[in-house]
Amino acid sequence: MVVIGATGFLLRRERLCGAAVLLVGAFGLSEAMTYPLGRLIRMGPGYLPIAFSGLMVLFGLAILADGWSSTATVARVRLRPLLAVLSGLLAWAILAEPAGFVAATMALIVLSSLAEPGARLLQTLLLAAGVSLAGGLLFVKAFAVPLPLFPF
Amino acid sequence: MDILDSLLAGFSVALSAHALLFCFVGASVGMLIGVLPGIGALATISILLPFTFYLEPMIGLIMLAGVFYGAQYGGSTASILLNLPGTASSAVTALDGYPMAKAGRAGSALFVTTITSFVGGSIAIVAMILLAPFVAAIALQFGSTEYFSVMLLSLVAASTLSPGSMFKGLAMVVFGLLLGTVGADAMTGVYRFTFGRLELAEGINLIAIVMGLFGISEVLANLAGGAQPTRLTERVSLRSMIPSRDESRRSVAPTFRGTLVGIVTGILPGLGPQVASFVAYAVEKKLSRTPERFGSGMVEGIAAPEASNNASVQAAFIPTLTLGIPGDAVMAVMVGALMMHGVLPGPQLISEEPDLFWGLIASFWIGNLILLVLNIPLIGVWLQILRIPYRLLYPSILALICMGIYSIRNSEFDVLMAILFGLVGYGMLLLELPAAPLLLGFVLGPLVEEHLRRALIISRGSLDVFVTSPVSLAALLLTALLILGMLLPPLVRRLRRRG
Repeated sequence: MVVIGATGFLLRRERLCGAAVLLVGAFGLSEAMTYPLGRLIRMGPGYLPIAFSGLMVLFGLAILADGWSSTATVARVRLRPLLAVLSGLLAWAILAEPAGFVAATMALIVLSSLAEPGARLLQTLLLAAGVSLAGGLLFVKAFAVPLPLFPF
Repeated sequence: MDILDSLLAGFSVALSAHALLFCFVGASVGMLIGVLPGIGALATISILLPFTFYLEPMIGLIMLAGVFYGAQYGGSTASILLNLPGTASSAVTALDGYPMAKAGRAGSALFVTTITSFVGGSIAIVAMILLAPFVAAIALQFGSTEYFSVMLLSLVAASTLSPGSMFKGLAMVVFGLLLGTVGADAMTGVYRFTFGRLELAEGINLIAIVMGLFGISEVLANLAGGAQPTRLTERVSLRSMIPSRDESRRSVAPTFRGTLVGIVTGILPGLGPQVASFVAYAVEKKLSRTPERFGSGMVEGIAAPEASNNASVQAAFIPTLTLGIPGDAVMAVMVGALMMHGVLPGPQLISEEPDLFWGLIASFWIGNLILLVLNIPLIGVWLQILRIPYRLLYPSILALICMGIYSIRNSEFDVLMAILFGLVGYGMLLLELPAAPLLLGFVLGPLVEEHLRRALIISRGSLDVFVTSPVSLAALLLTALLILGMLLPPLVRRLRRRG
C-alpha cells in the first residue's frame, strides 16, 4: 500500500518520532532563548536549557535520518478506551475538590469502565462503591488528606 | 570487624516489628504484581510511593525495595506455569521453564528458580556489603568536576546500552534533563518553563511524571493497543516439588555464573535485570555441551537467568546508594523517594545515615528469606488472583493513582500533570521511545546542572578541569568510547555496502 502526503508521513513511525523530538526541542529552544544566557564561567538560567533543547533538535534530526527509509508504522490506537480512561481521570481531577472524593471516584470508575464494550452496569457500580469506600477510609480518614467526602 | 558491627546494627533495625511488617508487605505485593501481567514493578512502586510519606524514610524504602525484588520472584512463577512472563526480566525463564512445566516438572522448576533466586540475591547482597563502603570512600573525594563527568557517563551509558535505537535513548535523556530544568533556577531564581503557573515553581512533581509515564500510560497501552497481548489459558497442577538429583547437580554452576553476570550488569548503568537474564541464558547456552536442547526444558536455562536477575536487582543499589547516581528507572524512583524524604543518597550516606544504609541491606536479605519461604506455598493463591479480570483491575489502579498523586501536596494540578505525562508516555510507547532514560535525566538533571555550573565557577570558566582530573578524564573517555562504539559499526557497514 502506498500512502502519499501528510498522512503517509505520519504513519511512518520513525519519521513521526524524529519530527516529534525535533518539535519538542524547537519549542524548548524558542522558550529558553528568552532567559539570560550568561557565559561559561557563570552560566545564566538559559544556558543549559538552550543546550538541552539544541541537543533534542539534533537528536530529532538524527532519528529522522536514521529511520527515514524504515517502513514501520505506528500501532493502531483504539480511540474508545483512550477517551474513556482520559475522561475518567480528568473527571476525577476536576470533581475532587468541588464535588468531593466519593463523587469524583465514582465518576472515574464509571467513565473508565466504558473502555470496553458490553457495559456491566451493576458490576461497575459495585466496583465504584467499593473503591470509593476503601479509598475514602484509607486516604481521607486514615491519611487525613484534606478532601471532602461529599459535596455537602 | 567494622562492617560486621554495622551489619549487626542494621539487622537490629531491620528486625524491628515495624520494619519486618513493611518488608513483608513490600515483598508480597512485589511477588503478586510480578505474577500479574500488565502491572510492572515500576508502576507499582510509583503507586505506592505516596504511601511511604506516612512512614519513616527507611521503612518506606524497605517496602519499595521489597516490591522490586519481590517482583523478580513472582515473575518466574508466571513464566513457568503460564508461559507468560509477569515481568520482562523473567521472559527468558519461560523458554525452558514452561517446557519443564508441560513435562510435569513444574514443581521442581519452581523449586529451582526459588532457590537460585535466593542464592543470586544473597550473594549480590554480600557483594554490596563489601563493595559499597569501598565505592563510597572513593566517591567522597569527588568534587563537582568528577560528579558531572560520572553522571554524564551513566546517562549516556543508560541510553546507549539499553535496547533500542541509541538516538532515541539519548533524545529521551536530554528531554528528561530539559524537564528537570523546569521551575525556579537554583542560582538566579529565574522561572524557567513555568508559563505563569506557580505550581511549577519548584519543578514538575516527580511522582506526577512517574505515575504518568509508567502508571497511566501502561493502562492506556493495555486497553487502547500497543502493549503485548496477554491471555491466560493454561492451568497446571503441581506435582513433585523436589528436583531430581540430576537437576540439582546441573543447577549449581549456572546459579553462580548467573549471579556473577547479575552483579556486573546491576552495577553498570542502563543494564537492568532484563539484560542480566538474557546474558546469563546466552552464557549457559554457549557453555553447554548440548546447546540444541535449550528451549526444551533445560534446568540450566532457568537457574542462571533467575539467579542473575535477582543478583542484578540487588547490585543496582550499589551505585544508587553510594554515588547517588541511579542506573535505571526503578533506581531513579528510589533516589527521588529518598530525596523527597530529605535524605540525599551519596557517599556520605553510609557514615551519616548508617541505620538507614545497613538497615536497608539487612532488610534485603530478610526480604529474600521471606520470599524463599513464601513463594512456593503461595503459588495456588497467585493462580486464583490471576483470574481477576483486568476490567475490574484497571479502574481501581486509576483511582489509586489519582488519590496517590493528590495526597502528596493536595494539588489537583499534579493530577492534571500526571494525565498529561500519561499521554506523553503512551505516545512515547507508540513511537518506541524509551521512558527510563527520560526519568534518569529528570532525576539527575538538577544535579548535573548544579555540578557543571559549580565546577565552571571554581575553574573560572576553564574546561581544562574536566581533563586534568583523572576520574573525570576516565569517565569522559568512556563516554566517548560508548558513543563511538554505537555509532561506528553501522557507519562502517553502510560504507562497505557502497564501497
